Amino acid sequence: MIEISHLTKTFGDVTAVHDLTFSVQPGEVTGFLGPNGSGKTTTMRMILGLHRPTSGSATVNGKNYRDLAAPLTEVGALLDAKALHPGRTARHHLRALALSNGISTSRVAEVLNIVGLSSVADKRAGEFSLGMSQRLGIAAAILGDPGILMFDEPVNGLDPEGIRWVREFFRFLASEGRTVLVSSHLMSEMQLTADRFIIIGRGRLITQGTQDELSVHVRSTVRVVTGDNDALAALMTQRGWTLEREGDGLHVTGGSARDIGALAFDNQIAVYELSPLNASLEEAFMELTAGEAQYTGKVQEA
Amino acid sequence: MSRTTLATVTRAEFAKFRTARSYVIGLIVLVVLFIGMGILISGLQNVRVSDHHGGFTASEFDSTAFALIGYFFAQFAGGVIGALFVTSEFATGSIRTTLAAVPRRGLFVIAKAIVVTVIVGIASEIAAFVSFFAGTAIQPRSAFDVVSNKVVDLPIASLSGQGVLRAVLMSGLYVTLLTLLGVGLGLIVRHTAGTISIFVGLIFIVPLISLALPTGWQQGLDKILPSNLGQSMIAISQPANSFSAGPAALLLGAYALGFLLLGYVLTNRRDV
Repeated sequence: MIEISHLTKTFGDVTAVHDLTFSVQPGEVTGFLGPNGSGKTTTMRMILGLHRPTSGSATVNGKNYRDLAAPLTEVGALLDAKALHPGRTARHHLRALALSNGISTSRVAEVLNIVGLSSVADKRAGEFSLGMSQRLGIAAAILGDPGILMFDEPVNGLDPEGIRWVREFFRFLASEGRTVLVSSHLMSEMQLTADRFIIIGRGRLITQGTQDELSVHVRSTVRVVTGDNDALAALMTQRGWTLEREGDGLHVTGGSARDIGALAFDNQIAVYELSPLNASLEEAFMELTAGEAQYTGKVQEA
Repeated sequence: MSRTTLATVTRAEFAKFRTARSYVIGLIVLVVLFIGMGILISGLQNVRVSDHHGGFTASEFDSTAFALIGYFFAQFAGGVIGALFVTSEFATGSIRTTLAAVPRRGLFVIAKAIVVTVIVGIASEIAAFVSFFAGTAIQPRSAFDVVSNKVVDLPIASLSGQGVLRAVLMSGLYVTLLTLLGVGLGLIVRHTAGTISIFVGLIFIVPLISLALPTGWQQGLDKILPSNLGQSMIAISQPANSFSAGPAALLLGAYALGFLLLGYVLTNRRDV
């Protein structure tokens, strides 16, 4: 279990993380979402004792990270896949980590096998692709068989097969009762992996909850095409639903497809097309974080 | 139940030293420079004594100093090894992986210092003895002395001679202490190029600055410069205005410790 309480971090006059409070529970995958520069990595570094909080606290299993007797056996983390000496082989890299925490070195071959790097174990890590480095980082994270795991943007550089593998692997780790925190700037990616979401923007908590809880932020629109759009439009407006004309149909917000179908039937209007246009969680995320992105690009209109 | 202790962290740092090519190459360079320069300078003495026009003063022939001259070159290899062992962690970003595994930063600093001291210490002492034996073995035995105007036997040093064993041991110790100084400097500066520049500056540039100072200051500063402390440590007979070997070694040790301590304080405070 990870507990973050009123965590704040400032660098000079820049506030990277502001009064963040949340907890990450065991047994589920928690998605840590936010645009680039929103403070996800800074928060994770504070959890690992790499950054000192300006105020507030971050604890793991109720303790400060620096007070853990053998940190790698309680918390495994992949922050930056390339954060290793490029001249050392994958095996030697993991071996040194195991030695530092008094973990049996026989575990090295095991984790290399789990992440599928056994065949390149004696290659220098500097020659690894980003995807292979991510796998090596995951191997390092699970080295001490920890109950808490943190991964910062772990799918970067992975091929589709690799992405599917990490998804399943994270779900498996959570199913074993571990606490799994995975950061990403892509909701579409986390939607398939995470049970619960923590969404931040500019270092502040925007919202948190399960997928269902977040769905309230999802506006669902229904497209309807009928024999008498005008008559139906008048009826729907009376009920307080909002609508827009789109081509030969109407886009309705406020009523479900079922409501609209029933309304048309009651008023003997022929329905030619009735289809829910569900906004994705991704769109909800984009909307929630819209004013919060640190770096935004604009598409020049022609 | 596994625990992170000084013993486990030191074992890990040993493994890291052995498994990265740069440190091993640095160590080879250190040993080759130490022994190679001792042999070269000792061997060149044969050319000097055979050059009758140059004039050779037998009383200036310092057998021990010629055989151990390599320490002066080896100290740079040592400084680079010490600096790199720390700065490469910052340069590659592996410092985060390292400190996430070992969050008690004092353990990290002490383990780095222990590993460098043991490895460079053993290599330097071996190099010192090899250099001493090889150097003295090829030094000229006699020469025409311009002062007495006749051929005289040259005093070739042997380990049983007054202060010779101490000089050999001290030359290895000097290189080791300078390597430790490199570790401390690396922790303070964190950038490889910056660390090495400052290290070289301490050895070469500060003595030049000293030349621009008033005589009184100059003597005071010269006495405590690392390179002059090194000369004091390996001298058989102490030159004027210098410490004797023991106090010189202690002062140099205090420098190394001071840099390490400052390095620790900064490492403990900083975000990585």
